[in-house]
Amino acid sequence: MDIKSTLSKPPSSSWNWFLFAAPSRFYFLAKKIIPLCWALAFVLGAIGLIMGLLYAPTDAQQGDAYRIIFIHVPAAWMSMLLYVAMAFWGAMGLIFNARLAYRLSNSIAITGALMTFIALWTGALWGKPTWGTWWVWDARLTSELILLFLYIAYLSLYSAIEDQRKASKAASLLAIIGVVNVPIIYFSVKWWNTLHQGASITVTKTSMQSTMLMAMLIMTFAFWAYAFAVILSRVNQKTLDEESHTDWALTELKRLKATI
Amino acid sequence: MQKISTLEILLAVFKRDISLALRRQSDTLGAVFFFALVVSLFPLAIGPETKLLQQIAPGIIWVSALLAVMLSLSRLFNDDYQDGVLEQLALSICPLALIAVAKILAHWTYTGLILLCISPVLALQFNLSGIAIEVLLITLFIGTLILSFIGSIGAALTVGLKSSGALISLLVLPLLIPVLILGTLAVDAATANLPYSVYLYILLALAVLASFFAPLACAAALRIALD
Amino acid sequence: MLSTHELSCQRGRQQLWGNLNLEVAPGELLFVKGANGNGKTSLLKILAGLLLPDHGQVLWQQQAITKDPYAYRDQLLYIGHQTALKPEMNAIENLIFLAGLHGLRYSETEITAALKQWDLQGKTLYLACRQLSQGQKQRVALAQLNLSQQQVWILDEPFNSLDATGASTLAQLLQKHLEAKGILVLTSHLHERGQDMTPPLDAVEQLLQL
Repeated sequence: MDIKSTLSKPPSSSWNWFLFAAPSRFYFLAKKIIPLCWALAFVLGAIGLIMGLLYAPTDAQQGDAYRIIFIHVPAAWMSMLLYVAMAFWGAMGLIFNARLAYRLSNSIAITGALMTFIALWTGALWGKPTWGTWWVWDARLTSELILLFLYIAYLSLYSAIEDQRKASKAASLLAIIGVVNVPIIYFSVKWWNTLHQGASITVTKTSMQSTMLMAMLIMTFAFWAYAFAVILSRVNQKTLDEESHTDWALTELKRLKATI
Repeated sequence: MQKISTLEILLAVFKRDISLALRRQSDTLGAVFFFALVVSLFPLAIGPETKLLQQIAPGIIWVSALLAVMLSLSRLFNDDYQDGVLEQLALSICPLALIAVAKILAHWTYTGLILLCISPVLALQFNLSGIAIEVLLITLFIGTLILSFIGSIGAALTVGLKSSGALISLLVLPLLIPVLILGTLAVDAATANLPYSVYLYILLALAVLASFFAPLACAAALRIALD
Repeated sequence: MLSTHELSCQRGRQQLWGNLNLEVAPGELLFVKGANGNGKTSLLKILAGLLLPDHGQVLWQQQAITKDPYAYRDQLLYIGHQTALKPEMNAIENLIFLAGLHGLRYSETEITAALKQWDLQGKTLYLACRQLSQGQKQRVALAQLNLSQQQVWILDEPFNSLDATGASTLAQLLQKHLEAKGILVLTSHLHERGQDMTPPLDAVEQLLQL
């Protein structure tokens, strides 16, 4: 008795629970959102920087050098938020076997690493005029450094595995393990810092005025909008690349080539 | 022919791994010699001043132990993957996570415990006090166990990759920083005659957590690799 | 009974095969043919539960194998391309270990008897497997079949590296298994069935061309 096996198109997203998990629908929705995000990023960034650099009062102890925190703190917050988001979408990918979730997770990684790098760099720039040294083993800065290593670990593992699906799954698992460990790492580093009587870089609480806080929040949103824009662009790029055998993608690629 | 229980299967896996490690003596001893060598490199690089060495000794021994264990991790699952035994382990009637526990405990036995045996000698090289050596041994005992558990996750994620040695360290060392910090803080506290038991309790707690979650993560990673 | 429902397999960006609905009843043989790279090994691994299919399910006794994997594994023996023999251990140690993974303990006498049927005896049994030839290793691996209590045998190219005697021993074992109402899934890259199985197996046979 002979059995026939037919090559068939996998059913279209009938097992995906989210409306926009279908690659084509997500692609076009994202395409509309991206320019809005860029606009938001520029506008908020401009407002935040003007507030922070020109209008926020000079700090009693640290003078004007502290103003770097308007980049340092938002970048640091984003770096942590993005790691959690990366782990979340990785988990979604593993649970629902959804390629879009994996793509999202992978696209976040580089931006997250960049945010971490900016946070560390600006941390150093803050340290120099304030403490006289380029690097201080402050609890938060050290934790940021370890976070950078976690991002690098994720990116290294992803690029080391040839099969893309396997790479996505393994990297997602690593991200989840990392996210669970981050609190443990943070607390042990904090402990390490206090017990060894290390230095601490902060703006003194009493001088944290509302203008400063506002400016930091606005900058954070600006970074967030930037991250959205960049990450969604990357996801779209990957989608076109991976779905290049489908009709809608081919049409879209032709259209893009025509506009260049 | 008779049926055997899950525990007996795990014991068989444990014994097999130990026996394989014994047959590959050069690898097993290699880690020990590496440990001793790296520890000795530091005085050569820093200078023989006794007081300074005494201060940094716990850190040096701990970091060297970390690196030595990292070296031995890449063989944990790779050999079985190359021979096709990993597939059979994944098809066993015994859960893969439990088999991972057996392999990890075996790994600890032929790596961590052996390092533990020679660390008193190395500690003496640095003139550490009696109580400090005692606490160092306790922290290394618990610490190397955690190292094997968490390290195995790195080994499982990189199974089948060429030159996975450096990659495993990259994946796993950030996760081991709390263990490193707690271990060295404990020894420093002991040397300064301050209470140190809280660090040991937390290390124990981490060991319990690691022994529960790491095998699950390992099994998941191994199935991804077999995919 | 081993069956599948709408099974499909994707490797990389390509779908290898899809919409597979199989049923293999006790006493039946499923012979999978196809050129290399068409997904034969992937099918066998999916049937064994080592790989997750892109879509669809594998069912054992009408129940998805993902629901109760241990019940299925208890009745499954899978022998893949690799012999799963540790090069540092000898034939007897390897077989004891592999049987142990299935929850069975055999005495050395029973193992020696099984190996004798494959023409392996004496000092060969105590040599580290790295010192055996490919053909000898294949025979040691196949000795698992003599010791097996499992109902489902999934074998990936078992006739590789076997000479005529070995092939004949294997065919006889497979025949006995089918007569005892066992299930057999087999692949071979050799073109015509019957060419590598001498004598050809007398059983209800399903042929799947991938």
